[in-house]
Amino acid sequence: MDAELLRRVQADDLDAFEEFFARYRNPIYRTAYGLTGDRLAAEEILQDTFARAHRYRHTFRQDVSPLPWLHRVSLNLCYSRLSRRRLETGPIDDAAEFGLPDNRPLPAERAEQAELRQIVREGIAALPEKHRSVVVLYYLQRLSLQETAQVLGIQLGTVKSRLHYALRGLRVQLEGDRRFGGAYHALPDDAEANVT
Amino acid sequence: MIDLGGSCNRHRPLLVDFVDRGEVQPGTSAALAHLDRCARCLAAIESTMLTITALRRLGDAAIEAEPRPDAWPRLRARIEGLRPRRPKVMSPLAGIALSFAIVAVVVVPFRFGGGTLDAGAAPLGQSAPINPAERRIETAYIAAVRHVASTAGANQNFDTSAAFNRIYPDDIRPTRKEVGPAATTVRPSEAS
Repeated sequence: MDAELLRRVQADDLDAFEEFFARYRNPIYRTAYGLTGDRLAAEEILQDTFARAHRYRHTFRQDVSPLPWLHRVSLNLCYSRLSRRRLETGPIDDAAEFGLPDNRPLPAERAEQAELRQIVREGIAALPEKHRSVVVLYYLQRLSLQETAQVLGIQLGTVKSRLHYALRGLRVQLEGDRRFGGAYHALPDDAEANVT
Repeated sequence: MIDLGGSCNRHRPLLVDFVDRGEVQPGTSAALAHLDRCARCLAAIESTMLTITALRRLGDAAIEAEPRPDAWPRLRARIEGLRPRRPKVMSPLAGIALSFAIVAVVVVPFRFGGGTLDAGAAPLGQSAPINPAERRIETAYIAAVRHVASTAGANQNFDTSAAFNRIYPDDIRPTRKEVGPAATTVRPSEAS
């Protein structure tokens, strides 16, 4: 099905590209929104990602899903934005203001949650690219391990290995972040001997 | 027994799989037993669980999010804006090619015959049939030109501006009528 759609997209069929957009827009948007925490930025990243997809549509292989390519492009766009510090931090919680007022957390709690999210985003951004991808797909996109492996074109064991190293790296970063106010306590050195 | 961290490194991936996805593998029981005895692994796993929770909360915030309904119209407008358009200024090569095409289509058939605009045009090497009235006009014109040319040759002071004066029948020129000052006219109504 992807192959036929891609063939039509490559034949400059704009209706086919609309279908292509409708099929892949949500995962890309959610990735961008999860990482930037900013709806407007996520919209722009979505637009930029698919504009590039249209520009480079002739390079797509019809026998391979374009989703990994789209994810890579959107992740790069997210991190290039974050690295330029163009985004204001924490607006992801603004969406909650339009929900049920009675269930809203107190301002102090919301600020703390927003800060935690920002710390986590920065931690993800600091991971190596291959670790970052599995974290985003597995934890933010809620893909299964098998789906993550398919999207990235790697083995299931490789996904698990990368998740393990990514979690360890992220944990170390969160532990070292003073902004979290001691929620993550310092751990003894891993190299220290212990008694079994 | 002193362990230099080797068993911790061996057990932790199994422990993370267990707390993250509930996966029970062959070594999970031994890893949990190790966790009961190892404060450092306990702290690491607690910290890992907090990290996983934070990641999932971050995902929760995004998982229901959807782009705005006008996302496609905006993208479409952008794509159509990026599409190559016909150049406003024609390239010189295209202009030359177009000129040759015009010459080939319009001029050549009349030069070499076979044109469709003038049914009297003859193929190359053949004389076209000429209308007798046109032939008479052409003959008269040639004779007049020869007459003027011979007159000019006989008189070097010949005013060339008169060479193409109009040829009147029987060489009778109209006499110039002298016109005096306009006479005052009185309308009948005022005379009365």
